[in-house]
Amino acid sequence: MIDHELEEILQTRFRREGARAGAAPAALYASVSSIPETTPYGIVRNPTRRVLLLAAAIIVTLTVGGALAVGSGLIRLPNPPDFLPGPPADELSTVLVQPLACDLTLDDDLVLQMSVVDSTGKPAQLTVDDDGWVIRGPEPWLPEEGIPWEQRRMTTEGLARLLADVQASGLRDCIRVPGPGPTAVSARLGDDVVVMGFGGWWVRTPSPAELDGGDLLASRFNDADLGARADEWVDAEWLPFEPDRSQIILLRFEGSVPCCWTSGDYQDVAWREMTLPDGSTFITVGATHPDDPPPDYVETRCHVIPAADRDAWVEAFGEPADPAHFFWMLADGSHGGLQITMTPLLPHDPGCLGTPDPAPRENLIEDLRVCDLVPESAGWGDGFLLEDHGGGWAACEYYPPRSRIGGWVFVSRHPVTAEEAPAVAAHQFGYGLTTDEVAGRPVYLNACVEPTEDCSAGIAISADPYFVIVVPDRHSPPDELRALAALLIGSLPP
Amino acid sequence: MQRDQVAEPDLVRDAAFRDLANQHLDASYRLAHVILGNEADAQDATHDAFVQAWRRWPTLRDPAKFSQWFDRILVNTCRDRLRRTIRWPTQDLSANLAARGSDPVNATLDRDVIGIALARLSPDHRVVVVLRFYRDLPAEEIARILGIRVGTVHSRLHYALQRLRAVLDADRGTDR
Repeated sequence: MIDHELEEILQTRFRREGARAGAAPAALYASVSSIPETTPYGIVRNPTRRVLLLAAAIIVTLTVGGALAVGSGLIRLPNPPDFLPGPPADELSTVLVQPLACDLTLDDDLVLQMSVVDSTGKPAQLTVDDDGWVIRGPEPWLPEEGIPWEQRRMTTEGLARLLADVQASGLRDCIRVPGPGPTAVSARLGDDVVVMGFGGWWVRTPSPAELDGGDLLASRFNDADLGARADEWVDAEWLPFEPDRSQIILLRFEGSVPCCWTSGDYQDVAWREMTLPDGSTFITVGATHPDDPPPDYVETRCHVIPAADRDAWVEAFGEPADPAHFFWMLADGSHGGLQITMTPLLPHDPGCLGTPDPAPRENLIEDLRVCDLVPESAGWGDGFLLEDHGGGWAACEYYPPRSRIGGWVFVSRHPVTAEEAPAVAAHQFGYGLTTDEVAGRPVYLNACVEPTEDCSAGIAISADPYFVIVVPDRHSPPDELRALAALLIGSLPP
Repeated sequence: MQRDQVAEPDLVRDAAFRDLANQHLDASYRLAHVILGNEADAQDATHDAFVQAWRRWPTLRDPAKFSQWFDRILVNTCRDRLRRTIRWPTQDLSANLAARGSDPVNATLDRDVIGIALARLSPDHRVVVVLRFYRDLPAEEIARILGIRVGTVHSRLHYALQRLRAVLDADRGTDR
């Protein structure tokens, strides 16, 4: 299928959908009109536990440092599987699985980093370094919208108490708890980095202890001052923070413009002939970024400049496509072009580093044909390999071609023995899972089997060395899950 | 009118909110409907978004920017609703097979293969696709609404369209 045909289908479909929706119903007009009488002005009430459980799930994109502005590096999880963080390292050191949506690393100078969502739903981030400097601000940087980054220094005692609360929460190993709070928190506790988050729980049910730990941290992290007392700050108030360096990322393509853009989006200039402030050209500036360029692009280059030079570079790039985000799009007819993003760097961020390769692992299961595991008789249709899923799991999404059921299958790339399987299942499914047996294999059902639950039913199969998780895309009662497991067990290699 | 007139009478403030809500309600409801795909969720999400807007009203510094400000709240509300809607709608297409014609675009639309494919996109991908092809917004405006980088918009569109294309191609393959 060619792009313009797909675009036409989408535009037509959406036009029909919008026309079908028509005007808002009178009841909606009435209910919205009554909001000033029925809703406290400017107040966000503390949610009840039920509301917490129903609260919006926020998918984590734990790109620590948020280094790359572009490309596949940011698209690590195209679909729901942020529930697969891997087994707890302390219990399963021999089965250490690279977390999928959760990076158990933290830049050297930092002791804490949070991804949060501000009052309008925009992402923001907060970092705390080992000297107590706290820097917070929108992500991405939006100086043109008048949203500044700020800094404030915490005392040694304040920092210690903050980390002690993280320790006391008991949340570890990418565990997520429901409810409003930071989408992700990474903290350094001694030699260990722990990661936790709020929302996005999907197939995992938190234990009461995890919920309590989440409440403890939510009270801190939902506070604009991190729940620190006045005497735990060196600075009496937040101060402006001005980054002293910026990172420039250039994506270059050849020929016609890449997917999802039109030539009209680009400023038509002879960019190959332009000279940049340091005497380089768009072809030679900086260095090739170690990460592969995203699809449709031939190269990614990266360059770090001091803040004092920023205006000169901005001027050299010409009219930005998006001034607020410091984003430029340059093309020279149909002879290729550039997308340029300039972002400030935080003090701890060296800039221009590629995504580190995961540590080499031994004894991985090779040739996992995860999209062949669901037999045709299940009616799941064709599998679509999630090639950008990454981590220690092979993942396949099955589309229902007609009215039939579909879902996801995940297989651990690491061998999981029968002895290790209960702990792996417990970490993936959390609290309240049920152990059972299908076709002589241990299986584990999560606690999301009731249709009223706001999480999705899943079943895990232990078939040493394989550990498989199956998640249908709609409510499935236990018997259906077991039948599905039986089908998959029959498909696993001997 | 400036929002920093904190002392403005409550009635004036309430009326200003109602005026803006009435001006934007139809378009907001339609956007929510396209994102969420059904009337009930669209009504709930639109109402919830206006409740959020009312609570955050003091943070709206310039009412002239209400539309952009509210779109961000609405889209995030819809996205969150999608994220907790874990059972995707599907449709029995067998009854519609006769609708296939020689025009592949209309044939695809008639069978709503695209509706099913859209329903299978992640909330983040779906929202970006809707803003691009329903609202016809440029990527930088989508980035501003969602609070993400323009490059991320581009990547999400790339992967979303890749997936949609794969589903539609597979569907056409099964038609042959």
